[in-house]
This record gives sequence, structure tokens and C-alpha cells, in this order.
Amino acid sequence: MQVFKCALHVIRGHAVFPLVYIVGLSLMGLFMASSFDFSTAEGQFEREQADYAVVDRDGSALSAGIAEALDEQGTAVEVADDRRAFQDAVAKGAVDYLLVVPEGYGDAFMEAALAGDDPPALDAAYSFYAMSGAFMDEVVGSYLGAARTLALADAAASQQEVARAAAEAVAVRAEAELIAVEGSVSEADRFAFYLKWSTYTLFAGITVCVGLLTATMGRADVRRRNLASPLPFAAYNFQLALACLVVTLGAWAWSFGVGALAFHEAVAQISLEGLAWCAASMLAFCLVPLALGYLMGALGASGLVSNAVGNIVGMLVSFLGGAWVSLDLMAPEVLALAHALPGYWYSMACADAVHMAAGSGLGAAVPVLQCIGVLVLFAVALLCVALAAGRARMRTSAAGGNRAAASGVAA
Amino acid sequence: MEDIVSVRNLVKRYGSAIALDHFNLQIAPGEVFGLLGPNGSGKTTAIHCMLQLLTYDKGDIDLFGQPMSPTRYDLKRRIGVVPQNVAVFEELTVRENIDYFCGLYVPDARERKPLVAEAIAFVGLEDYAQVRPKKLSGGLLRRLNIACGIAHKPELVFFDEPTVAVDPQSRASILENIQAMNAAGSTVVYTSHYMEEVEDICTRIMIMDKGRTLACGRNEELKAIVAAGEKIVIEAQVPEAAVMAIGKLPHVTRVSYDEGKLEVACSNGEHNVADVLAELARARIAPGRIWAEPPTLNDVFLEITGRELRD
Repeated sequence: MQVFKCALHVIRGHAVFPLVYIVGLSLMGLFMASSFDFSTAEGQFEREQADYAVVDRDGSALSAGIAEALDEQGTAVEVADDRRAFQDAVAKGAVDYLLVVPEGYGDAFMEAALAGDDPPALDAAYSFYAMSGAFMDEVVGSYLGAARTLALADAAASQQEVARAAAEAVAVRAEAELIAVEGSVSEADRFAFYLKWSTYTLFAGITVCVGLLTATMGRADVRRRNLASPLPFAAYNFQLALACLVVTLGAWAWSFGVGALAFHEAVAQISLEGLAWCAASMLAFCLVPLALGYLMGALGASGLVSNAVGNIVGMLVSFLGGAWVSLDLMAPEVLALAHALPGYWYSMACADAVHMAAGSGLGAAVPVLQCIGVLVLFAVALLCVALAAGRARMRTSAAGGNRAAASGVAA
Repeated sequence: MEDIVSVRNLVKRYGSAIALDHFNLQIAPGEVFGLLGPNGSGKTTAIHCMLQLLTYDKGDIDLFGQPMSPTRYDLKRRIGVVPQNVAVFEELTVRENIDYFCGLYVPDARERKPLVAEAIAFVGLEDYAQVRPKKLSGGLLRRLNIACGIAHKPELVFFDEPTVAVDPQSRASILENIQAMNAAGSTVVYTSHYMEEVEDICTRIMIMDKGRTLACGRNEELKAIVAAGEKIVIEAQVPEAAVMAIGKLPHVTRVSYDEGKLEVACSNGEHNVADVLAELARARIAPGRIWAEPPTLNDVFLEITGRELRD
């Protein structure tokens, strides 16, 4: 087992890579998963409150009604009727929403409403800091919408009557309450997030380590020396493959073990079958960067190239696997692209496995098994490409093969 | 005694270029055989074919009297290889590197341990056993490269230009090591484009160029097969007429004059120096320093190909 032991020595010599990519990134995943709030709060619903200012240049019943409607939703702040004061208030966050009601607005609104025209525009500005300003604008829109409907419904009604009726209409609200979603498992979701984040950890870490290992062991001079020895080439390849597999298994065991230890409450919530399928899905996913790393080595990629490929492809795979942005929020086109990468199938497998009920038979595991099957196919396809590329490269000058002196320089 | 290496009519092509053109080689046990030729002459290709690292188009290769093939692990076990470039692992220490390569031939760790220690001592790397290669100088790296190839005590060792880019002190040490190995019973195949090295350590020499054998034999035999007897060098101001007169002397094969230095190449003759000095005296020329050099392998190569070895 000389080659196997030597390969492990090589990895030990580059300990910084597994330490940064596998240990460091998985700890970062733990930190991120711990810092996110997955809890579904239960109890009283609290309406969003915002600071607002209304500069009323009209003084009409309608403008007073608008201010009254806003008062239900937030806290009024005094702002001087001056352009610079407006800018300061919004830019410095003194108000989330600033509304200027121009002179004659009430009358103009009533005329437009009765004529069936669009209502006149209001000057409004939102704060940069919160979306509550936009919500206040919705309140104003809602009030004016009600006023316009009422004005149309009773053409004889005065502005004061319309304003009062509109205020009564928008004051009516449905009761809202926060309730717990049935079957929610917040800690399990935290663990599921960690598993998704691990796509980047595992992809970058395994690709870089295996790429480095195969490139180092496959260096032309070293390869020639090995080929000249009595060690059969098949035995050499077997030992090298075994070392790559050990590195992969180490990365898998570390990532899964650390996650299971850190989120032990989640592990207690998830069924044993679910946990086992999570582990199996992660292992199947690990085979993909293993094959990619092997491909990098077969192509003779340097450590720098392996690092770049591991990171860039790892980011892409993890992003399209829903590690950074939920798959539910992705556009259909992006989601279609995600299907072409292993991260998506891994995420789907983990999502199904995490919520698998205890005692559920093999039937419940079919969706997970299908995803694992797709992951294995990804790995097999990449491995086939790696073997073909390695075979082709063996004959090239870079690998010291038969084309080593194709230019006629036979050394 | 049966040849330890026997290569017959070996042909190796790289596309349309012929790297080895019906190459033949016979090496007897105990020899230090030198393959001498300029870069691109086919030395390394010949070695790689013998080691089955390259396929070849035609020919037969026997090692230890048996046909060589990529799966003749029994024969490979008896061979050592010191490649042209330093082929070691940067991540392993000197001892670990030697142990790794020795382990490919000697799987038993207990049996290997004294061999590794012996190899370290043989190349004088005792003080660097726990050091990683990147901290070694070029000469020490070359020694490590040798130790990795010979630790398992092979009967036949291929040294492929082991002294390229090495300081004179390390070069002398490497050549001493090779001679010591040979004295201990190993047959050595040594390739180089440094004729002085080959002259110093090789019992027989083959001169190659463009994949063909130009000449093969002992050092003296090679020099005898060409007309190169000796080269006389005289520092003097010599007019063209005198140069032409010297060129017409019997045994003079070539004469050149450049910047006050007259070089006269002669075939074997008893009075070459006296004849040339007499011709100078006739032209009333007082010579400065005079010396005679025996022919070198470079002269042999020049005689055969019309080119310098290092062209």
C-alpha cells in the first residue's frame, strides 16, 4: 500500500486545503444555520408601525382624512414645509414616509372622481431604510380608492361626507393572528439548511483535495518512475483511487457528523430513517466532486486551477441547489437550469429525507432514492469523462507519453 | 557471458519523425555503458523504450536475457531508474521519498529500512533525512533523485543525464557514486551530452545522433576509428602563406588560424610537433606557447558528423 500511504502523506503536506475548505466552511455553515431564525412565532399579530409626515397644503376634509388614516398605521412626525427639510427627513430616516398634499387637492379629487377621470397625483417619498414607507403609501391608496368609490356611488355627497365614510371603510380590518403551522419542525429545518450549505463545503473541498492528489501523483516524472517499477499499473490506480475515496469519506463524515452534533435537537426530531437517507444523500453528492477532482487530475490541472474550479463550480452548484436562495423563489428558467446540476437533486433528497416519518417504509424513500440515483449518474458520467481524458492525456507530451517528442526532439 | 541488455533493430517514430532508426545495443554485465549524443539524439527515447515506458514500432528488447514487456514485473524488480528530471514528492521528506520508491520494489518494511538508510548514507544525505526536497539545493536534489532510484540495489541502473544543471562538486560526487555502484556489481547505462563525464566513467561508449548509432566501442577504439591523432596549438603571428604550407604537411588533416592562435589537427604520426615547428622556423616565425592535446570524443563526433557535440 505504498501509493495509498504516500497519497495520504501528500494530503497531509497540503493540510491547509482540507482545513480551510472542509473544516472551515462547515463551521461557517454551522454558524449561518445557527444564526437564522426558522421559528414560526405563535400569538398576537402586530401591525407594522411606521413614522410618517403629512405636509397638508390643502387643508381640506379629504387631506385631513388621509392624515387620519395614516395615523391608524403609524406615528406622525412634524416636518417643515420646505424642500430641504423633506430631503433631510427622508434621507436621515426621520420618517419612513413623507406625503405632500398640494393645495386644492380635495376639490380636484372630487371633480376627477365624479368625471370618472384618474385622481390627481400626490407627492410621496419613501425612506431608504424600510419597506414600511411603501406600506404607508398602500394605506393612502386604499383610502383614496375608497373615497373615489363612495364619491361615484353618491354624486350628491359632499367632500366631508365622502372623507368620513372613507375613513370608516378603511378602519374595518380583518382580525389576524399568528398560528403555528401544523407539522413544522424548526430545528430540523435548521439542520436541512446546514445540509444544503454543505454543498459548497463538500464540492469545493473534495474537488480541490482530490484534484491536488491526482495531479501530484500523476506528475509525468513521478508517473514514469512508478511505471518503471514492478508495481502493476492497475494496483497503482487502485491505491490512488482508494486514497481519493478516503479523502471523500473523511469530508463526508466530518460534515455530516459536525452537523448532527451541533443540531442534536434536530436529529432527535428527525426519524432514524430520515437521518440515514440524509447521510446517504450527502454521500452520493460527495461522489460528484470526487469524480470532478479525478477529472482535474486526469487533465493535469495545477493546484490553482483545481482551487478555481472547485470554488466557482461549488458556488454555482450550491446556489442552484438552493443553499443561498430558496428554490421556491427562483425563476422557472433558473429552476430549469438547476435541474442540470447535482445540488438541486441533493437538496430535494435532503428536504424529503428530513421530513420522513418514523416507521415509513421503503415506499416513502422512493423520491429520495430517485434523487440519489441522479446524483450517482452525475458522478459516473464525470468519472467516464475523467477516465477518457486521462487515457488521452497519457499519450501527450505533458504527461511524458508517446507524443512526448512529437516535434522530433527525442531527448 | 550473456548480455544484460540486448536491443535489436529498434525503430521508434513520432508521427513522421524517426526518433530511433534501427537502433542496436548490447551491454555486458558489469559495464558502465555510456550513451553519448547531443540533445534530441534519441538517448532518453531509447531508455524509455527499454523500460517499456514508450511503445515502439519495431524491434526486440531483451533484458537479463529475457524478452522485456510492460508486464515483466520480475525484470522490472531488478532495474533501477534515475530519470533526467528530479522525480520526487515535495510533500515527503528525504527519507520518506526514498522509502516510497524503494517500497515499490521491496514491499517488506523491515527489509526496506536498512536499504533506505544505506541509500541515504551512499549519497551523503544523512544530515537531510528529515528535510523536505524544497529545502535542498540543486545538487542535493540530484543526489536524492539517485537515492530513490538505487535504494533497492538493482542489478541494472539507467542514469538519464543525472548531472544536468549540477555544480562541479556535486557532479564529481555523483560520478563517484556511479563508479562505486558499478564496483559493487551493478551494470550502469549512463546517458549524457557531456563527453568528459562519459570518457571518465564509461567502459564502453556509444555515440548517437538523430536516432542512429554513429560509433560504439571503448574510448580509445572510438578515437582510433577516426583520423584524429592529436591537436597542436601554437600561439604566434602566422602569415597566411605559412598556414597554407603547414596544411600541406603529411599527417596534417586540418589547420586553422584565428587571433594569434594556430590549431593543427594531425593524424597519428611520430614527428607531428617537430614538423610543424620546422615549418614555422622556415618562415622565420618565433612561436610563443606550444601545447598538444589528445583527441576528444567531441573530435570524433565532429569527424563523423561535421558538427560539434553541443551544436
